Amino acid sequence: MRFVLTIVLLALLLGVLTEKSMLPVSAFAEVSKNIEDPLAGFKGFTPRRDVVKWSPVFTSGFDALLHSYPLATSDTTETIAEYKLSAGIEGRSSRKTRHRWRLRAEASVGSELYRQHLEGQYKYLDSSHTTRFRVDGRFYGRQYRETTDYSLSSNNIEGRLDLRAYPWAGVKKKIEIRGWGNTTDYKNPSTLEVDTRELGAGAFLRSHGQTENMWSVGYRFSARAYPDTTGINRNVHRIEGDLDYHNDDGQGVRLFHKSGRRLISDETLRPSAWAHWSEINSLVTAGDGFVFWDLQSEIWTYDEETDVYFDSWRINSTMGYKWGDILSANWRLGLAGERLDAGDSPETYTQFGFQSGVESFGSKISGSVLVEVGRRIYSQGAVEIVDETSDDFYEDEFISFYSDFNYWKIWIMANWTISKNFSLDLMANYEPESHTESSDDTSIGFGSLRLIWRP
Amino acid sequence: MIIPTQERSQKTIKASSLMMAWGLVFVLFGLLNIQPALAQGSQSEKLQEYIDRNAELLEWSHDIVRETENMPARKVLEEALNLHRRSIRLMEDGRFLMSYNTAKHCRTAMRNAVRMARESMGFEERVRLRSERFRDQHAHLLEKAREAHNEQALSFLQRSENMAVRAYEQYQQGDARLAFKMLEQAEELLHRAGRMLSSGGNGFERLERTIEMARLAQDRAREKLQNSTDSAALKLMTESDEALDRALDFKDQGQPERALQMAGLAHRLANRVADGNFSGPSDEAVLRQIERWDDRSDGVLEFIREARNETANRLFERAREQRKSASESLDQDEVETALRRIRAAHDLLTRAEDMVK
Repeated sequence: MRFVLTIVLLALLLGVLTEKSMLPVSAFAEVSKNIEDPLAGFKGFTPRRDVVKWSPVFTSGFDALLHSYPLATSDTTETIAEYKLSAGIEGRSSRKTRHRWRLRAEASVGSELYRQHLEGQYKYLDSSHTTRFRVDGRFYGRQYRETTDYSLSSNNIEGRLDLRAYPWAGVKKKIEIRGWGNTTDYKNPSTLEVDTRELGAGAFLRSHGQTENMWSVGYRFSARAYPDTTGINRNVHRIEGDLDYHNDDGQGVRLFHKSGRRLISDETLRPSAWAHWSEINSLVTAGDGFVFWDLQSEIWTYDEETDVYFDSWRINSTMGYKWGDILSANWRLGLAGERLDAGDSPETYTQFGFQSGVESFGSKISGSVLVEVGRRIYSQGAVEIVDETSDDFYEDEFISFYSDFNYWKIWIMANWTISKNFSLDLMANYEPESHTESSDDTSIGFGSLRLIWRP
Repeated sequence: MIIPTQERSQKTIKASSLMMAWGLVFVLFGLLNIQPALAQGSQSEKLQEYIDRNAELLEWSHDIVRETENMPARKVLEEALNLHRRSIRLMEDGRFLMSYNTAKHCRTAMRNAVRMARESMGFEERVRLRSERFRDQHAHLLEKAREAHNEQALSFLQRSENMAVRAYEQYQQGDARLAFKMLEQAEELLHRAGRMLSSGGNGFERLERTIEMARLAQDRAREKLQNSTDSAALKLMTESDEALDRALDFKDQGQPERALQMAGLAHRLANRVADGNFSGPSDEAVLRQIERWDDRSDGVLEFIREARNETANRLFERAREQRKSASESLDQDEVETALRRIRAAHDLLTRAEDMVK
């Protein structure tokens, strides 16, 4: 199966590459004739062709994941490194037509697994160029090699289909009706590799047109089923809204809120819950730079608390100043804070950190480095163990779970455009924790390096 | 603790040696202070209790760990179970000290497994909560970036999607913590693409555009200067050429900020020539520019109305305010200020025009 899929996709790609010089095909040639390029004739500008277009891309890369955590007597470090070769192609219709489509196919061969990815979109636009109907489809296939280092290695496929209709679109607002379905199937399902089916629908009122002030409000409902574990089937109701405002000076604010109710089929297996998630991102000019303030809040309230499902309110915020020249380098300095309030649970903590970073977007090299250093302090860090057969505590009634720690967060991202057709992407993250109980030290990290060729 | 009894015989050297060896063991136990209590017969019951308690805690830990999809926690709990079995075997073999130490390690492993499971539950919920929002935002920005032909934003979105896919795969592997961190990175890439699209392109695009605008203004000025011998105008043109050369030099030297300033100067100087404003500002020059603005504005407004473009409309309103301020400044004999304002009004009008044409 894996070979068939991979070969079909590669054949498609090769076929398109060999035919590329013949594009646009005759059916679209008429469209290309009628294109008027307002910039044609001006030096320094390349007239943009608006025809059916296919763009192939080849990548070769390396991913590494690292997770070290304590066992009983020593730490263990899990590392998974994967080399990957992939080939993909993306095609799209002319932008002038009212029936627009887009297709993307990608296949890869990795040292851990084979992957296939197919993605398609179709849009119908009315005479005022407003989208009236849209379909998005997506498929992923994964087949693990027998020698894989991954613990869970059942081959799986995933599919998703989204339908959107816009029955009404005014000058500044439009109504969106959505329906979707997705499915995940494992070849050998297990406790942790469960098949799922989901169906959902929603209705939204959104801003429309070229506007600096974008917003939306809506409701969605989804029903998720686990055929092998029906007890954890769930229905979710959500309302959400967001507002995004930015002016020409770069100042702006983005607000988002989502509240949801999750109803579990068998509440003895998992409790139903309310979840509220809010986000604020703002940027205000001050002197030669900007003051930034980001805040996130997550509230979980379960109908019945258990050892793993406990009510909590997490709030984290970053505030600071960023300055610099967009054309050379942007610098940022800030303070980060986070608080998890989980009542009597040992998870309750407060965290403070100092953040600094630099980012630069050049025509050849762009990248950013962000470093945060701080400390997390647990309020209690211990849990009470109750003997359920009597009302007494055990002799060692407290087990200490969490210890305070100092942490580092290091993010590095870079992109080097080697030539017109080649580029190199680097991304790395490393987060070590140094605990007051040294046996609790953990670290987490991942890195990715990719050479990309766009012929 | 059960100590095997030995039948001692004072008559044999062997027996005496054995006695000495056991004596030495007891002395060492005392000297090293390694759980001397375990050496006591009554303490064997305590070891048994400790191990029994581990069995109960293992059951409790298992209930918690199985609730989550956390793979590392399961691995650590499995390790705890192995240690528990080992501690029982060691006790049965009479190796009490080792049994006790192994049982202690078993408890540490259990503690770590439960901690990881509890911690991961939060991450699992957070990944579920955020992934839907990520998908929606990604689709929205992708649409926007494609329409704006913003290659850099598209590249960020592509990388963000790759990262989200990897995060999902990691989530499937039962490592919600790492998955969450990867999803956070994917979100950061998404925000960068969003910022890039909000600011209307990256810095280098802006520089290239300003240089191009300066060149166009110079071409326009030269057309106007055909056969002209006006020394002031020729001087301004030379200054404009020099400024543009310096802008290109700065660009080559990797100093884009200064390049942008110089290109802007070249553009303004060429515009002055094209507008016939060779010397310092005069009332007449400002008035001419106000009239030009008025002439231009009608046409632009018509385009904006046709395009129903909110951003362009806002830019137009700002331009109109600047034009009004320029007029007021001129009335108060603030010619320099009036000139600055009417130029700003022209710039804003040009930007609005660019958006709708």
